[in-house]
Amino acid sequence: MSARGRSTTLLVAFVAATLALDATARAQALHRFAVVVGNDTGGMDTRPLLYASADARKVLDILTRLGGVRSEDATLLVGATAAEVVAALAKVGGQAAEAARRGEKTALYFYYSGHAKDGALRMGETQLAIGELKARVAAAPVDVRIAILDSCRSGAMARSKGARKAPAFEIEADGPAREAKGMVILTSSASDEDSQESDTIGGSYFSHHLASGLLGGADRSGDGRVTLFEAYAYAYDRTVADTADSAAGAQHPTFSYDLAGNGDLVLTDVAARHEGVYFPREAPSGVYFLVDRAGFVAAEINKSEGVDRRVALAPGRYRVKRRLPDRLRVGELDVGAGRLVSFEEARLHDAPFSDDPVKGPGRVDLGARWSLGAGATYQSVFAAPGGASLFPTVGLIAVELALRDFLRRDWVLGVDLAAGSSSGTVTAVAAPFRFTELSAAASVSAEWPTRRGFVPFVGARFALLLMTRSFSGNSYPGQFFATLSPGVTSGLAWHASRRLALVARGRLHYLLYNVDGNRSLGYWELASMVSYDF
Amino acid sequence: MTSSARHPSLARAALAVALAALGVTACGNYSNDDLEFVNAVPDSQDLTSDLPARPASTPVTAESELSRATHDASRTFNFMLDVVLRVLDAVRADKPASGDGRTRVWGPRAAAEHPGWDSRFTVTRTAPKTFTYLLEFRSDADPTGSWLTMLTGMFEASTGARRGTGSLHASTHDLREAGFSFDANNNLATMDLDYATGAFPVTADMTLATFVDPSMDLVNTSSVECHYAVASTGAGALGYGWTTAMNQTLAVNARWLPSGAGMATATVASGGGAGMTQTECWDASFRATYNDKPWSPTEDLGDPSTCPAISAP
Repeated sequence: MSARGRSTTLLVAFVAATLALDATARAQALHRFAVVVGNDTGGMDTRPLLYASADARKVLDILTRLGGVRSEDATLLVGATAAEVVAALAKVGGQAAEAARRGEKTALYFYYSGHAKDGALRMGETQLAIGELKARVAAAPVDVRIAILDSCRSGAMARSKGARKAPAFEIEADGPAREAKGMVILTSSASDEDSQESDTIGGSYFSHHLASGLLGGADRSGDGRVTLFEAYAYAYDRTVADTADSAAGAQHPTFSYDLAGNGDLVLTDVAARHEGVYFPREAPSGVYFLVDRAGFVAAEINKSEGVDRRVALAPGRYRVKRRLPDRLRVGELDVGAGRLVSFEEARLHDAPFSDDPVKGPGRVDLGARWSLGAGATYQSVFAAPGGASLFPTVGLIAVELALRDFLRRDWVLGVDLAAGSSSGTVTAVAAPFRFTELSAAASVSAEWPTRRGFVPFVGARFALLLMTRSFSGNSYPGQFFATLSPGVTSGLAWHASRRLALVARGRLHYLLYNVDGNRSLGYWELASMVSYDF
Repeated sequence: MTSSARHPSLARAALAVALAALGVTACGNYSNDDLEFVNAVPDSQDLTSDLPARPASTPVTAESELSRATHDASRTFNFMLDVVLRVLDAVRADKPASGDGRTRVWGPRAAAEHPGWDSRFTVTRTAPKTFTYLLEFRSDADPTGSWLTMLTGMFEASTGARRGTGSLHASTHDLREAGFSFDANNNLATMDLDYATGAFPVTADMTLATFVDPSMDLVNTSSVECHYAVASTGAGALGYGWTTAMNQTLAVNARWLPSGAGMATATVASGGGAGMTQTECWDASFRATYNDKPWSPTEDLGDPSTCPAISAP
């Protein structure tokens, strides 16, 4: 190539780079605002979510740390009402209008994680129609609008003129970058699908993978910036893969866009912060889980062979896990402020599956709820030789401490104590006696919340019974009997309010009586209780 | 929403504990059958004479002669009853150590009040409502030796706690010969007791033989018979033999009201005034209100109209 040709080439390259840089710079120069909403409760006919609030906090952290949103331009609403969300959008709209008057280009991120039902977002006892939300976001005085909904059947928001459901994209890596203006909607599932949370990862699938992608997992181009299309493609692939075999069925995120131009918006810049974990290209390929101190997955990175990845984790200590067919590879990393830590395979060691750090001790159990109840029980022993002459019917006063969503969602662990007394007569010797019973029991039940606050449940119970009887006038020595008694329980709770419930239950227990020979007896109980949720 | 198991290792551990606990058998002494066996054993509280005590306001010297004799006889009757039945009370307080459908056995165990000896008490059901029982002792020094019987009895239950008819025979001769020690004031040789508690009047007939001096010999004894009855009203009666200071042998029949007021007749069986009958009445303070003593008319006093109207239980 001649010197002149070389100069021309250099000039074209310089102009192209400048244009690209200018476009990128213009894209990065957006004044970004964010309204991030997370709500675990969705009204009495829904079950509380475990991770919606946590997902919202995670997304806010990413947007403010890596997404160019200044903290004063970000609004986090946790457990808020629909009116508060509307007010936040209006306030941000005012701030954006002010910025526009100063000649700034603006962008609005709206993120929601929580319940949605019958075409509306459910925030506690309040509702915000999806159509209204969409209209408000669309009406915001900003240049670019990005709405992200992580809720059941959220794909309904994407049904509008000009918008189309586009599950996967070919990222136009080589196309000219032109400013994007308009509205983008990302939803966690299609309009007829549920969105799912995972206890394993400690979050909803879609938000988890979206966050992992924004942290750097989705940087397919390797330029240290994660664009909107890159993030969506990554989140889509991982969400579909993780939910394919779930009980609720595969979950397909949707992406609708109504943008002028085809420019790809940069959502996060993981290279600029120079902080986090760097996976060099020679690091083994596979799925890496980066687990924080609380035992939750901060990022899940799918590293390809021969490709490097940068994950902009916040400073802290993380455990690293990579799953192999027959074992885990685990290790620890310390990410210091302003430090990019390079991953080294040699620092991992083999571990059995039982040592999975994702399920390790010290994990914070979000959503486990305690309740305390008190009530009365009526107990009657059947099939006893001598009937009530042996064990008379008795009324008991009971207290119960219960823990929900600890072992499993909608499972209740309970511990109850009861005491009571009654009287009877041993007919064979015409001896009246005073009967006393003390019981301590543990139970586990499964609940099925329904509309209007009714919650049927079924479970198993294990009781330790101590029964005594004393005879009037010391005509006979006192007697006692202690036994362990397994049984089943079933009943119905009615939640009169968010914290107060009335419970009616029945129990059926087996009782081994082995004093006068071995006899299999049983007893039934009817109980009622008032319960208070903490 | 997804509901994968949380804390699966904890759940497995809890299930393992529960399954292991199921293997623990129930325990206790809560038994209706045991009560029927215990019911066969007489209780001293059911048979003791309930003659009210002399009030402190009445000095001994002011008490009527026959009420004083009746008090003495009542104390002796109750004491001997307690000597024998106290052992059974101790047995009844515990759960039987073994047994089956026909038998309950308490012991063998160390006799707390008789160091060096083991006791064994056996109750056997011979018919649905009929029981026999046996109290035995054996010396620690000869653990394979024979058991020595102290008491045998039978009981036929009617209705109610320890209600029915029964009899027992107690003998201390063999035990004394084997070196079994009794309290110094316990000179019981034999006791035969027949009782009926199924309905009022509750009655107990005791034939008591005591050693003259058990430290000297186990041959010479003196015997006495007592008959005790109590009505549903609480009125009681005691019949007994009494030897006076003048060596008269009297057959006394005393009756009393729950207040203590009562009367007694004493017929001389032998000695001075043989065949004569003394009648004495007393009030609730056990002061004589009437006395007719043929062989000592100077002791006569009062009017028979002051005697309480008491029919024999």
